[in-house]
This record gives sequence, structure tokens and C-alpha cells, in this order.
Amino acid sequence: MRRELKLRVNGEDYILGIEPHRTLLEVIRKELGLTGAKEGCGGGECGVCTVLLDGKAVKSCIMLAMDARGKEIWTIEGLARGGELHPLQRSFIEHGAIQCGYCTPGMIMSAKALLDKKPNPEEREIREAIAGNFCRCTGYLSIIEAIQAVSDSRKLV
Amino acid sequence: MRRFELLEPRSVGEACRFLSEYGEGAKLLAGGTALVKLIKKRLIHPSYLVDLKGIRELAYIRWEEEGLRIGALTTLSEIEGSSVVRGQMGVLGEMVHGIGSVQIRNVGTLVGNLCFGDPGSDAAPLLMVLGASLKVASLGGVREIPLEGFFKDFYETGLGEGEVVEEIGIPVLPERTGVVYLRHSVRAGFDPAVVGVGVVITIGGQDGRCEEARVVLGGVRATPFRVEGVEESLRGRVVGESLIRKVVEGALEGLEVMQDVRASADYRRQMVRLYVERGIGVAMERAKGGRA
Repeated sequence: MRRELKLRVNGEDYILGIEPHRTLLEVIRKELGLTGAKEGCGGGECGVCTVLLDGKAVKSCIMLAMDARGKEIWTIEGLARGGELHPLQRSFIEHGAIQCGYCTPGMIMSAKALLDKKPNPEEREIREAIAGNFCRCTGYLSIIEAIQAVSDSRKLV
Repeated sequence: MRRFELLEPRSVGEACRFLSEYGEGAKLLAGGTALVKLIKKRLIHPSYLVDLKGIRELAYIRWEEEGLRIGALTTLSEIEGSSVVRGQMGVLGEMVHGIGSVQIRNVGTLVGNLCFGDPGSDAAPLLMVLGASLKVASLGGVREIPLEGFFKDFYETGLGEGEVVEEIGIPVLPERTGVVYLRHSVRAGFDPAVVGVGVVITIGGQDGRCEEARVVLGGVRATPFRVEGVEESLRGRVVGESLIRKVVEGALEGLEVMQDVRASADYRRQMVRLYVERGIGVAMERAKGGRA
């Protein structure tokens, strides 16, 4: 049976009718057409499905959409403003922290969750913040540098 | 994912009613980090999920005369970031910080972790060694289940049909008590533990001899268990490095351990010995420093 689900995603309000067995990731991708967050392992390990739920990084592939009711969600699509990339997105490009790009949306959302809470984290904290995001091209060092560069340079919006 | 109906009780009583009514076909949902994954991977097929998330009063961390009380909906991140936990039972925050990844800790709950009954749980051995117990509600009333004895087998607990865990209570530790939880996994990060050891030691007298010792192993068999041989050989003695080695070696000889993809029985046994030794050493130091 379909249920009403109100969500606020990237600053826009949605009212959807969804079945309760749908994951948050499925709803974001299939109902809203936001395909930045992806299904990798499908079991909450690889982190490519990471989105922010009320400012906290969560794995949307193992969360029921119904459990996100009334919450504020941000995905990678919500970061750029007026055609301008978010500082984290720019920094990832500048530091070569993207290769195949598959892990990038999740990595950036995890990094954003950290920097929003702690604008100047220690390297250890950056590593812990992205420990739940796998990169199989293994550019971890450049990813850490990209995040560090943003944290040094400015406070995030 | 296979279809199910989502039931949303507004009170613990209503949750108990749903569980009693739908029996085996219903599962309780708290954080869901384990449950949703099991359904997706087709390991379980519930027809009903009883979602506790609407009962917000189940999310709390309270420090009271008897000790620490943590509600069934309190997430691991909330415990990790709690100044009450940091101040009163730092070892709990340390252990929780090692569970899963940030994303999992932001959603997963401590009580859910225990009710899942995973043999690799880090929470289970620490909370068991701390003497924690669960407050469990059902239509018949409320009962308390000590964590020691709660775990029955791989993913099996002593929870009966229609029962809902409301909170976990951790008693106040005596003075001059040290606690530690150490884990060994093949890779750092969120790899299930090959061995996890929780140690509580209380010292007394002028010579700081061991008055009470509890040692619990997790990740070693289907359920966490106390290592009474080691405990007994520490009680009443002044514990130094060489005693620890001797005692542990003797008491752990022939210990039955499981083998799995992460470790052979022999390797696991060696790691058990090493980590029990280290755990006792750290707990002793903490007891002397008066830090839990």
C-alpha cells in the first residue's frame, strides 16, 4: 500500500506516494531522478549512496524512505550554486581526487558533513569521516588533500 | 526489496501488541542498519516491520544513581558524542567509536546492535563485562534481562515473542576500577573482530591487589562468554606483567574457539591470548589511575 511521504531534498519540498519497502536511495534516484548517489554494494558498506539527512551522513541504500519522513536531505546535486561548483567539488578536481568518479558523490557528501560540523578538522578526523566510503581507484591520499585544502581555505556554506 | 507492511506504533505498549499479533512475521525496526540489509539480501522475509522511530521518548542517555541508562532509539553517534558518557563511562564511547563507519553510527542504535546477536558485535562483550542488563517490555509487564545469558546462539537472543527492549542499563562501577575493551581485526576499520575482549578489574588495599576481575570474550564463539579461569586466577593477587602472562597462558590452554573466514582456530587462539594479556594490563593501569 502506498503511503504519503514528505521530503525536503536539496531545498525543495516533495510529497510522494511510495510503498514502505522502498529505500531512501531508490526514491531519490527513481522518483526524484537524482542519480548522483548510487547503489554499490547495496549493504551499507561502500558508501556511494551517502547523502545528508538533517546534516548527518547516512547510507541511503539501507535506510527506508519512510524513515526519512519530514527530514532535510542533501545530495551531491544540491551543492553547486548558480552554475558554480561547491568548493569541495572544485577542490576534488584540482587535486585529481576524482578518477572514475563513482565514489565521488558519496565522498564529497561525507566530507561536507564533517566540514559543516568542524571546519578545521585534523587529518585523522578526515580519514575517519571517509572511512565508510570506498574508492577502488584508490586515490585516498589525493581525496584527503582535497578535503584539507577546502578546510584550510574557507568556511563552508 | 521484498514488500512488507510498515507498522508505526506510538507507544511501547502498542509495539508489543503489534509483535504479539503478528508473531514470527513481524520484526522490530530501530536504526535498521542491520535489519534492512538482511531483508535486501533476502536472508529474512518479514511481512511486517514494527518501526520504533515514532516513539521518540525511547531516545535518551541518563546518568542516575544506579548508573547509565540508554534508550532503545539512541544512536551510536549520540553515545559517542555524549558528554555524560565521556564523563562517566569513557570506555563505552571508545568502543562505540570503533563500530562501523560514521554513516552507520549516525543511524544504528546500541540496543539494536545487541538484539541483532551478531557474534562479532563489539558492544556485546563490553556491555556484558560491565554487568549491563536490558529492560524489556511485553504485554505482560516489564522484566529485566542481564546481558550475561541473553545471547543464545549465532543471531539468537533470549528475547521472547512480543517483547521490546526499552533500554539498557549499565551499573555504576566501584572505586578503583579499570575497564577496557580491545579488539583485533585483520584490517583496521569496520572489519568484524577476530577477538574482542572486555576486562573489568577492581583493585583494593595498600598493595593494590586485584579484588574483582571480569573478562569477557567476543567474536570467538557464537556468543560472548566469560573466561572464569582467568578471572579466578587474578582475584586476590597483586597483578604484574609476569603474573598476567603466566595466568593467561594457563587459563586459556585448550580454549575452544571457532574458525571462520577471518581466522583459523589456531590464529584466533593466539590472538585471544595476546589481547587478554593486553586487556588485563590496560585495565590494571586504569584501575590504578581511577579511570573507567
